[in-house]
Amino acid sequence: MNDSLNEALLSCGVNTTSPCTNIFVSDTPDTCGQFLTSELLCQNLLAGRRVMYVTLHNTFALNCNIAAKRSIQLMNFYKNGYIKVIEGQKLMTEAAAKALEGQDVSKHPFNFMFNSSDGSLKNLFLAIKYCVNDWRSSNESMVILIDNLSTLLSLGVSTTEIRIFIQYCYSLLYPLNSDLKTRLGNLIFVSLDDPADKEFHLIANYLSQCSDVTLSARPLSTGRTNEVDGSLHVCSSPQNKRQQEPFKKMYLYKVMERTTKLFAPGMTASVL
Amino acid sequence: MSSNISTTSEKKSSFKPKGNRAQTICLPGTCASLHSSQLLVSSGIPSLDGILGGGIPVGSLLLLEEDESNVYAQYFMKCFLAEGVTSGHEVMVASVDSDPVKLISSLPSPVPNKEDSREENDESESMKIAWRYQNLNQVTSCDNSRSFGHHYDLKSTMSADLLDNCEKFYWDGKEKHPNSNATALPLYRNLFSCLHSLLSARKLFTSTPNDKPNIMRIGIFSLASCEWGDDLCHSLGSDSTNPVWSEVTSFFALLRALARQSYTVAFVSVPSYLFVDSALLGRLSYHADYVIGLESFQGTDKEVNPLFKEYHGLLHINKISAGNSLVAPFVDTHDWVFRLKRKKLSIEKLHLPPDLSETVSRSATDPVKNTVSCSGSLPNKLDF
Repeated sequence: MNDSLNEALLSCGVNTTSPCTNIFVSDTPDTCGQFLTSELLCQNLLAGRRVMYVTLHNTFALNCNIAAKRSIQLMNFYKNGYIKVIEGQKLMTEAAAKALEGQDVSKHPFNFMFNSSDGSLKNLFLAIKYCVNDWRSSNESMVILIDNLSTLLSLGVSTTEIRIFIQYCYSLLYPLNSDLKTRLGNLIFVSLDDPADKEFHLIANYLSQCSDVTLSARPLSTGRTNEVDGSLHVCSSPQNKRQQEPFKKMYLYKVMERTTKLFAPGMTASVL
Repeated sequence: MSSNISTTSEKKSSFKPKGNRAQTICLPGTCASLHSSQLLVSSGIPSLDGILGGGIPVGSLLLLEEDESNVYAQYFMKCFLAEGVTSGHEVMVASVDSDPVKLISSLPSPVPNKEDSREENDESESMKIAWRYQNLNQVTSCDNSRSFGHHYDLKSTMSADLLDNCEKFYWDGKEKHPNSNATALPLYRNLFSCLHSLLSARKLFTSTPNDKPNIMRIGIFSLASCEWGDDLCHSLGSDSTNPVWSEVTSFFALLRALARQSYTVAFVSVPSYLFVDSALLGRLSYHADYVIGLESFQGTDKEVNPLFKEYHGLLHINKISAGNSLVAPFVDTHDWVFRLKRKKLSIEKLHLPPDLSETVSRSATDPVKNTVSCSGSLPNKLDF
């Protein structure tokens, strides 16, 4: 798998397959955080964890193609029940078409597109809950990956509704019929952070505040080059009582088809 | 009842594997990309195809930021649609500002390849290049050698025979939707409904079995202009309980979703200079696969600037999608210009004209300010 990225995250004390680590992946309109999403998806599957993948912006087929180039067959995991997918692209088209034909979409996961009342994301939450309940009842280790919350804002959902939805998603990380206080899994949220867009920025700040680790892919501020795609900022919250401040580190990254290279600033091949 | 059943089944998983997909689909007017293994169609401007990585992948969405006069954006759109007609694709035109039937009837005619190459030869013969530079790549040219598109003569219209052989569909926002129960649907919902039913009727969804699928080119002129009824004067966050622009951003997200599931390529132009809050353009760009901006020189200082003498405007490549992979086609420069030649619209790299003065460094003075005549003609140091 992607050793460079994995080692870099471990050196920051970030274990992406730990059930105690909620992760927020932040990208900008000028960068694509898809390499982080694919990486986290594959790492958790290879670690034997169950994955609930809610894809709102891209298709699952895209992730299958990307993973296949790295010799990981997501379809095998899908057939064996290790990954369940909610395909937002298909569901939103279906909901919109049915609603415009006059059919009842009150129970559709994407009924929020035509219902701006309180609790409009309830059906989407229930669809996720239905998928993970099997794993919760058998105490399986799992991860819920939601990519990308910015799409919900584009579809007309208010920031308040999204914040409530995030809190509800946290409740799915605990066992169903048990007194266990341990968490079964973690949440990974992906969202855009654009200072020019107040709503995007508000959600990004909220997710940064309630996540254990924030991975931010940012473009280079000084221009562009063939050797570097952008900078990756890792920010993890204090993990023990001795550590007072959050741990922060910055890498430069270059995405390639089969791997992602990470290096410290000033260590690119052209500089050396 | 049926909706309940479908919802229950979707809760398990909405992703349906396609099974054995080893079949090779051969569609007219397309070629396979070696970079992303996707089918590409030409944008109708071969030099633009070269910048975008060989063409526009089927199932993608291209957003064009219009120039203020909306002259060149129309040329770009017309070339895109004309390429569809020439390639035998189905064409869908949507516009509220102008009559889509007139737009189709005014599509430019394709330039025959022989004539095109002759024109290129004429141009190359007219300029003598020093022998030691002849084997070097020309700075201005994009890689046209692998392009499969056509050039279009923007001064002549397409013949009626070509137009008659093509399946054409129009939407002008005036037709009432049959299921709207006499209450007029907002324009965006009306257009989405029209597109969805059209793709279903033409069996262009990838999930629908079709022995001979074709490509549909969707061209939407001036989306979110004043005629669409958007309240573009409001900034985001002025009223958090009532999200502004949700109609246009929802439509755009749905259009992307439609394109992903069907044999379509959508080309949408927006008058971005009307947007008060740049966040709206950011949201539209987020859903688009390719974002291109046009900045015309018409009526600006640049029109008389000798640096831009040969060109008609700047072209900004704001976003290029990675398509089916993680790595987007690499664009080595951001400085692109477009110009209308005799029989083609071409995009070139911007480069400074040769400085023939005896001093080594360029003069820092702005040559525009030194001009006296209104026509913008400058003392030319080149005698040939």
